[in-house]
Amino acid sequence: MNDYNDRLAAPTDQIVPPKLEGPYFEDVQVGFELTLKKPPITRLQIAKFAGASGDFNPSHVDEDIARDVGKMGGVFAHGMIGMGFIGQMLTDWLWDRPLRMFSTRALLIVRPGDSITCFGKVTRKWVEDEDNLVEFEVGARNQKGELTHSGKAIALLPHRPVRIRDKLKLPYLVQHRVIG
Amino acid sequence: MPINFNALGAETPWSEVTVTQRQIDSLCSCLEDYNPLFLDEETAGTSANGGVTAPPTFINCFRDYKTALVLSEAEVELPLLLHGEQVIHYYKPIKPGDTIWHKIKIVDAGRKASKTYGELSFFTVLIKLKNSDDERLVEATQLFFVRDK
Repeated sequence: MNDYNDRLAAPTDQIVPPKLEGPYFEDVQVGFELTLKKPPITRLQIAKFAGASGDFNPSHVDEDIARDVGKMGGVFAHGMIGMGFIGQMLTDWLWDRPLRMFSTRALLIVRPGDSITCFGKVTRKWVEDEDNLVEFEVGARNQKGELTHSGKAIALLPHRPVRIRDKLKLPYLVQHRVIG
Repeated sequence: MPINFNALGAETPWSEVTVTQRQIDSLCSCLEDYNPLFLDEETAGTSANGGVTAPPTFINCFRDYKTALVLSEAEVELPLLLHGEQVIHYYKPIKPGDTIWHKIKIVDAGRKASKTYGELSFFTVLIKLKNSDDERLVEATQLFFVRDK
């Protein structure tokens, strides 16, 4: 077990196995899909996010104020927790390939006990200047199937280095230095 | 109106912060995101980033003076505030040990219709993170709604 798993007391079933490298541009096609199902959101998780982000809006951490002043029927999760889950889905797959843009819109309140399932789908791939770009439509649904978040992400994926396949290295092409 | 529209254009000063692994741990722990690229120098050191980097939503952990901006300038009652939308643009990875400068500015404010809550007030903040060489690291806009009382 790596020491960070001890440091954060990570549940063994949630440890992410290391990858050698992220995906390549040519391996991804329009329509490719990602998904990540998260355990139900807890009040402790919301409190920890408040601590990590410094966002102690009482709507998220104070039941009385959220209910009586905010009129929201009780506390609810920061919208950025859902975005964080979607980001996790993306980086689990992208590994060390960089994101260029990531956006989400919070559509529905997520409460303690709600289970969020994130999804992503490649909608476009293109080359811009020297960058190979892949666009995802992303989002999240609660346990009722209702859309809680929607958004987009753009990632930068390299193409594998150009090489001449062995079967194309015909003797006459090598002799005439067509293949260097 | 539950918001002071004269807050448009108000901004925080640049604020300096040194990124720590502990900050990244805290965010990863609450998201239950145990990707070693964010947590383990040995694994992350073999990646294209050459070391640990922060997760994509780490920009949410930079909020010096943000509460003051929202409370004192926009005069928002926090329990009426709802997060609407966030757009993040990435320019360079953020790593533990980096010294980062950040500031937050209110770049839009007004009234608009919402499907769920009817007409309500909104404001948008722009968050900028740069390094000590004045290079852009991450920039984000966040749209907030403020419900009427």
